[in-house]
Amino acid sequence: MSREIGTGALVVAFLGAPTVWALHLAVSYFLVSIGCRTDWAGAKAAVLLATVIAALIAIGFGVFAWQRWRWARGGRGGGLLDPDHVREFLALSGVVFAALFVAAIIMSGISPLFLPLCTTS
Amino acid sequence: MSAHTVPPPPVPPDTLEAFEKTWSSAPGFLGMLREVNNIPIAQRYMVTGFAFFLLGGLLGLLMRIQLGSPENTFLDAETYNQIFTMHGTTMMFLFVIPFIEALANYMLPLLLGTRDLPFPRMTALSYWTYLFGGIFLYSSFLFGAAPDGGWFAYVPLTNVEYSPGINMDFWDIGLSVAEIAALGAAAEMIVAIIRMRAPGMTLNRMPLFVWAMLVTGVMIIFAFTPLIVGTAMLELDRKELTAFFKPEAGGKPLLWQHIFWVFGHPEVYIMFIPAAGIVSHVVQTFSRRAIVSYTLMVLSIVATGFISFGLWVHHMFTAGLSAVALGFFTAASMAIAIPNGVQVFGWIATLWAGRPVWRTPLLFVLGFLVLFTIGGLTGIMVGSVPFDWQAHDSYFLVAHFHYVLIGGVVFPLFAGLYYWLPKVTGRLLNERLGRWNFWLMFVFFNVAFFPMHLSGLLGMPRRVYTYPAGLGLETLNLISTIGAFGFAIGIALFVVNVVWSRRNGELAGSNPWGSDSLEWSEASPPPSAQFVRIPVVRSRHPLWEHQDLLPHDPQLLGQMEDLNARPAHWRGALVVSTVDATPLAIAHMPGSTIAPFTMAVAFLAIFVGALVDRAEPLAAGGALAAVALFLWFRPQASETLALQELGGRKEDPARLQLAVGGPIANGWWGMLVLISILATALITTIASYFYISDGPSGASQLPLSITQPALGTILSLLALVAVEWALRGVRKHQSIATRLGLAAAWIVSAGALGLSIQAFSGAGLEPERSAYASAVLGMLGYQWLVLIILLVTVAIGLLWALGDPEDRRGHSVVHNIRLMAAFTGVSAVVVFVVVYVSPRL
Repeated sequence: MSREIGTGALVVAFLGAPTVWALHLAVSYFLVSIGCRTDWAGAKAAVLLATVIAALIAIGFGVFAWQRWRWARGGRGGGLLDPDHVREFLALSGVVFAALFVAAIIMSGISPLFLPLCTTS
Repeated sequence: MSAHTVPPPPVPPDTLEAFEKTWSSAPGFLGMLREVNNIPIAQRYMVTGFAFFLLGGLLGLLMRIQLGSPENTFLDAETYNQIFTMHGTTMMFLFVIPFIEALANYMLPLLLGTRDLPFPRMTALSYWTYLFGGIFLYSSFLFGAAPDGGWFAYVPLTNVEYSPGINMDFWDIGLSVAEIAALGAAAEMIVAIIRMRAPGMTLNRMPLFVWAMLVTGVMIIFAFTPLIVGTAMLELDRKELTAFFKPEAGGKPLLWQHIFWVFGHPEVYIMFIPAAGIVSHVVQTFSRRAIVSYTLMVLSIVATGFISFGLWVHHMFTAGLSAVALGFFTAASMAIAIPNGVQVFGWIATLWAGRPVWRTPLLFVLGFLVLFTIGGLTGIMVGSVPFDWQAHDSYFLVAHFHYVLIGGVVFPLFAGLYYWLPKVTGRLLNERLGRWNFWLMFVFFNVAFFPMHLSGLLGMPRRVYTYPAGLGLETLNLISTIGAFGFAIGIALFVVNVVWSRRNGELAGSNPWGSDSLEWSEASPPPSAQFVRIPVVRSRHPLWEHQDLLPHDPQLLGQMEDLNARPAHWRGALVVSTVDATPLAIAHMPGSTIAPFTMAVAFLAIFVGALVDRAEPLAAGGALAAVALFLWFRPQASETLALQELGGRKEDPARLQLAVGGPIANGWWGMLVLISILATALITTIASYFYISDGPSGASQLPLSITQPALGTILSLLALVAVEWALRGVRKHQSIATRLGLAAAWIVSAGALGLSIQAFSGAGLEPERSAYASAVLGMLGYQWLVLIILLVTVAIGLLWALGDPEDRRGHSVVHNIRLMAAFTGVSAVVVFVVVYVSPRL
């Protein structure tokens, strides 16, 4: 039996991971700026830590979305998505978004492993 | 697929006649100025946008004549600078974005199954503002003072020291007008899509163009607002009132680049995403099957919108930023290829799995797929830092972005025009001319722009008015020039086709292509009174899968009864829930009024005053704006009628109420959009403050007195308390509480404004000499603007409360004021912490 899912929960499921990606980019850029200005030795580690935290939060949103998708599906069998069920659509979209944006967070966040922090072009 | 076959039962003729009269346009010249209906306004918008496209194209041809041979003297350097600046500015700000908005203004209500956009007066204001902004910008040619600092207006070149004329003032101010128009249109699109869909059109049944425009609307808010803040800062610098970008005063020229490209890169996708929406419709219709993987296509549109905001630094790879920072933006530049690739494969798969009918719209889509893929691949190349260092500021870039913008946007727009113009004009465009039109544009586009990759790789820099002979660039440039003229002939053929077909084209009928979405259920051209019956949607492809568009559910049948050629004597449209599109209420839509035109003239006067530094136009503009506000907000007879008809209804799930007061009203959602714009401006201002404060004229050298600003912040919070009190009065029908609450809110807000201004005046700051002082002025000036908006809205609410405290229109205003007061309180605290507390930390 399917459970009621509020609009707020659907918005969180749908937009949670992309929002974390945007915040991660802003925070990482800020940390690099601070690090380069103040010669802060821990800046690289801070960026990597921010990346791990952001990725975990985005995964959390993915799990949240996956749970809502299961609730929306109820006991329905068949394919991944009922084209007439808007809550399934939004929740499953949240799961896909989480996968995409976790990858994007990791792609951005690992650059301190390979690049010097403050060497400019 | 089954066709839409069952006609709806007829509506009584007298009801229909009254309904059509209610929605008809006022006659004559004055009627044209008072028009607010989306269809005629969108038509004007499209014609104006296309006229600017032709003007911008003409400028492009002049550039190509100049570059057709080395050391040419057809244009001198100064004229060339003006022409290339206006070419870019016209295409980006006066053609593509307005044209897309015009198309959306026309098509969205039809696609959504509603009768108009949620704020018809805003539709008209956006158009007039855009028209006046464009004329203002082009009037600069009459004074020999056309903008000449590039469409990107980099400082310090555009600072007053290096661009002393009024050329860049024209750019700055003219652009602001166009930006305001874009924000207005974005508010319209967002609220229309989330609140005014046909019953049953759940989010997962929305047509892809609608999804595209929803994402585009949100992107316009988050991208255009920083540009408005940036152009305001640049103009203040040019007037020698501030020093945001002046290095000698501690200002940061790179800050301009950050602000400009935070707008500029999403702008590319603001243009591309609607184009992708058009492509999805054309591919689906002419493949004769549903788009492959609707869900992934929607996700790609939304993901592209998000990621596009993380790419701006890839325009600054050569600006000296740190290596790790460049790594972040390279990663995002690569990541955006994923959703774009998904869409391209989705379209190809749809064509592959369908039975394509190769009419002109689909040919343009095919051209788009080829050209956009080439542009996308070179985009991935320049998204890589080492390659970008080699190709930056060369003609390789010119080739790349023309493949993206013409291939990725203009070709889909032409596909959209061939697809949707029959709906607008009632006649099909000529197919033979269309094919010639496509092939000329496609072939000569490549002739014009492909050689630019090579001239760029050979080292030809962009933005130069000539080049010496003997560098191996002559032939490539001549080929590009020939291509540009061939491309122009292709465009001219389109104009010929439109003119010819208006008179001689085959009659289109309601659904000439056998398409699936709701716009094709209406007559071509659609009447002003569109959707006499509000259609009901039960699947993603209503015209393919439904026998009819009528309500079957008894409750829905009852609810729709009030919308069958009704309301007959005032303009009404359905409001639905955001996710499920369940009917909620009937919104009153305002009728014709001169208020938007008056407001646009007021804006023009204010901007002329700002350009020439004269008080008279500013004062005249201010007075006209006050008149326009009065005309806009004064009680309308039709609204009174709506309240009489529906205002007294008790809550009853079987009958719809009037959408008035709080979140049920479109105005409340419009206020949320305004607050989103203001919040984005706040974030931009804060980022600028910290960017500038981190320098030799930084905050730590000059801690400001804190007492007066603290008191002002407390007053801003008290205003919120007073508004809450007024709202409580509204809910409990205590008119004295409402009036007193609003009056108190106005007084304490005015006090907060006065204290903030006094604190700044007494601080001894010199914004014209210090970037830090400019940054403080930026933060405080922002808060003054927010307080002034609150004061105006509270004054309007107070006038309603003093007139008739039981009038529910006034209650709506108080609900909206509460949102604004809450935001003002939050922003007051944030500004206080940033300006007065953070330097002490």
